[in-house]
Amino acid sequence: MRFHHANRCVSSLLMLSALLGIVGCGDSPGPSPNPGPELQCADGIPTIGVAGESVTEVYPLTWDEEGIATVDLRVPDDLTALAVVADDDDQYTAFVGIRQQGRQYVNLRSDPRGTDAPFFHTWNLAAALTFPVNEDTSLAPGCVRIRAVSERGTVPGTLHVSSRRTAPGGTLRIDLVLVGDTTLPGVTMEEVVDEVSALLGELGLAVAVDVGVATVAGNEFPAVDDEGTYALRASYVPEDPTRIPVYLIQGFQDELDVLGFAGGIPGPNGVPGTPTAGVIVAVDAHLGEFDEVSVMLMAETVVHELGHQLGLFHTTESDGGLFDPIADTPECRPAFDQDDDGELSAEECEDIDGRNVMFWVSGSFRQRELSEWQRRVIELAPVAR
Amino acid sequence: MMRSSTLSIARLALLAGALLTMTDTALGVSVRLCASVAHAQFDAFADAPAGTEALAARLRARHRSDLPTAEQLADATHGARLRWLAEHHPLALVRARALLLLAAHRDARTRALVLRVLDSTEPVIVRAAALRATDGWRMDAGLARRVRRLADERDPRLAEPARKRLGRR
Repeated sequence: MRFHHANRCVSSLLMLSALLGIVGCGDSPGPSPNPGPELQCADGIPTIGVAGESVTEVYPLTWDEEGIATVDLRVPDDLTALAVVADDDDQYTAFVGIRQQGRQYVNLRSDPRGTDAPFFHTWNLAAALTFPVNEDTSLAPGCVRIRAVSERGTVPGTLHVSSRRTAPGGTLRIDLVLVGDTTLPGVTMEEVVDEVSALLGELGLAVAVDVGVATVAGNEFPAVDDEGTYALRASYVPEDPTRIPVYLIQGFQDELDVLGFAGGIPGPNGVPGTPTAGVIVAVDAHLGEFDEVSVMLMAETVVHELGHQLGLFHTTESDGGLFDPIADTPECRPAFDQDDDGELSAEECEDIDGRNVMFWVSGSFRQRELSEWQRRVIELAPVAR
Repeated sequence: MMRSSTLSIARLALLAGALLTMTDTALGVSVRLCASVAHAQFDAFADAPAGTEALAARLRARHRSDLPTAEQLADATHGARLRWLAEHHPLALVRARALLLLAAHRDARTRALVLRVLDSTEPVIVRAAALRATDGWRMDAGLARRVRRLADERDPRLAEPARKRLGRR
């Protein structure tokens, strides 16, 4: 009997909902303290990464009759961050569980819909997880058991393990990828690059930023969440796999008013060619006065979606009842809903987190702030090398 | 032509407020102060129905799932706010979202506005939103003429729904 196949469609819809902002975040940022039976790892299991470096290693995922594959790895003392991706071609995958002795980080059996903080993990195409996502989710030295599941699971998949065994830092590499005949009304690509670079600079990240430009052939009017969108995100495979693509399309065929969305929270960064690799941003949804692209708004969309792709959630969700799992991000509570319309605008939360680039709604002012731990999540990303 | 001088002034006022905020921020002036200054000098919502500014804020949601539904905004008060935003807001995104949400409104003023947008040179996402706002309308001669014209557009966001509406492949 296969694992949770009946739930896959629901779960994938929930995953999409999360990407589009439906599923928010709760108040309990810690992993489960009740991990179940003692974890026994065999001697001689591989140690993650290389001392002093950030690297990506791969391990085969050999699925059992339930479609589950297990990989045991040893976490070294100096591991500062880890990102894992379960890749089974174009199939939905998920992490059934990630455990260490005394800690259960993810449990798909008890939380198939991915509603539990702090990971909110569920099925996705090339499902990904990153550690840490907040102050309390760094992996401890010792054995870690990673159990992945695939919708199909008939041929071996691949577990991509990107690790950082250095201090936070390096260079975050992003490519703005112009799709097909997409145009940028009233502005140049150079202006967009400059604004995205400036915004990332204003966030105070302790990483350098390299924003490049590329083009791909393809449909500049894909539909949201269809095969074309997945094919698009798999279409750009840079020589340097750590570059995160931001696909600029003219607009979505079916959803006219989508600004953009990420491939996952987090996405499979460092694994180009997968259906959720990278962010998609719709140019025409950013047209301002004189029907020209508002470079400021577009840069904020690019960075907001990159934040999701790197593992950040909205700081505050629309009704002020749900927040990201990071303790040091300010939370705008319903008491700030001055007009009592049930939703917290950026203006109402201006003195709290309304200026945070991960706030749920754009504002009439710049949103160019991150909390210290939001920055830390980005700075620790193993793709920043 | 969609844009009267009045519409442009309203949009320009909103834009000018934003630009002032940006400029003063760059100069190191308190963003809180400059937002107040911008608001005082460029009260672009001055001629809008009460509550329009708050609705505009909601329509700037980064993700569609956070938008109000057409059913939630089906009353006449919201209809007036949405019509104002569909004409005056400087962001095409907000104009388009306002038009999509006007699908629940069938009054004469909404109908006249939607037809004006269809005849305008508004960006594709705004005209395509207006076309969707007509989904529940009876296809009279005036609407049919407009839909036939849109069916010949090169942009698939206009052409495909228009052709579908006409029963064409």
